[in-house]
Amino acid sequence: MNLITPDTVPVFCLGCRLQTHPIHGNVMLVPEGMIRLNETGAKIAGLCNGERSIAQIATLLHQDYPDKTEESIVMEVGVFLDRLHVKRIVNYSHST
Amino acid sequence: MTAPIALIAELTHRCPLQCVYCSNPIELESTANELPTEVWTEVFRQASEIGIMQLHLTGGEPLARTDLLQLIQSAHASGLYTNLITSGIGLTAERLDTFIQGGLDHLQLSLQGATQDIADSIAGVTAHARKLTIAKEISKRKIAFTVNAVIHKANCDELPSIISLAEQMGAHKLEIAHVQYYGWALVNREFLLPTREQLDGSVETVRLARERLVGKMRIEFVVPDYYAKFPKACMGGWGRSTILITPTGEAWPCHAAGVLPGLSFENVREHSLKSIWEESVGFTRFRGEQWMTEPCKSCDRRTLDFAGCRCQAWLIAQDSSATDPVCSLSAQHHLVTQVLTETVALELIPMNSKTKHLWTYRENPRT
Repeated sequence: MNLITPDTVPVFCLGCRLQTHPIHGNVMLVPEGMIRLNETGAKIAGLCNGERSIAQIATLLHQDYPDKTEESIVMEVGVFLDRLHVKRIVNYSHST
Repeated sequence: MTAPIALIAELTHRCPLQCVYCSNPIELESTANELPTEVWTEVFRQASEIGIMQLHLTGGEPLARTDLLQLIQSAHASGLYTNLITSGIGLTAERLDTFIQGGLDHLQLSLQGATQDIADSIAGVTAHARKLTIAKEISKRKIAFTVNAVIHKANCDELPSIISLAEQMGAHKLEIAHVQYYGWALVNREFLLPTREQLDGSVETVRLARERLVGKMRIEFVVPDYYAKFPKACMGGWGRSTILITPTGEAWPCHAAGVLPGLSFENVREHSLKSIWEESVGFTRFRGEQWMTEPCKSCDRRTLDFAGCRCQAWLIAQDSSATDPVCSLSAQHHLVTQVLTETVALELIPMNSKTKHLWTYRENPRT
């Protein structure tokens, strides 16, 4: 497994996209399937634009979750993205 | 009642391959009765309206439809996530480019084995080498790419090579599915059912490959339910997520539902998908729990497996409301045990050009 750091840039794999559906709510559409996302999951996925690093995503999320430290948000984002990485929904590249 | 998620569009029963485990019904629909482009287009529009997100274009071989590009375009225009499930026979680099431009999201290519003699003997035709050629074109392009390999007694032992081949082909995902015994697979069951040792071997092979390939190639794995302790949640439950449309327009809750006695299925030419999903006998007959019998009725697992597969209950126990006989709690479970004892004792018949005459190959529909 790739090790991730705050500088890691998450990128959706081919054929994977976030959709807000009028009936099913926030879902990640993937080849031959879908994963329902909760509100936080959808927020994180929505901030993955292939350019932002995990640290930058955490900074933006911090505005919605001011009670949490940015470090703990980085951790939670990492755990969430790793679950998608194992399913080959998210790939990692490293910003330089 | 939940909203449906997936539509399986069996565009045609025509196929250049004649696989011995084809999941199409024994009674194939003739070409002349296939739904025209405009009816499919309307079905895709309605599907999206009632909540369907995933469309699986399949067959037979969907490439046999000359209007496939139009169908992909109309599905995409309706907002559906569009999957093409294909043998690759009939696919060219040019056609692939038009599909991707037309909005195709994902392509699934079938493999019958890792080596040419075995693979072509299973398909009944020369196809393996052409698949390797088209796979190179697919992996070069920006399209999600899955390889699907059906495994059984005759090719189970080359599973490690199948996994290597899928890696070489550049697949993002590999689906390894043990044969499920419906349609043509049921006819050939005695030659296909793996031994317990083969099954255990395949489980271990997949476990190791998953560990090695995490984040690179995802592996999905379907085990043969004859060996399971509890049944599979067939289709995620009857009429809970999926609608299958046959080439002539009948709406079924699964690939095999046509075998069930006393059930009729409505046609999309005459009824809306919404009314078929919500009200038709075909979809409501085994929805929920009211129809269940013991031991399912009072079993805690009923919300997990929905009593298993209705078609299997009929095909093995001749009772479509019974507990799926593969369940160890089923009163008819001895029927499955008996099949296992009888068939796994048979000598393994290698699948190659010399033994082809022993198998029953899928036929092609009338024109």
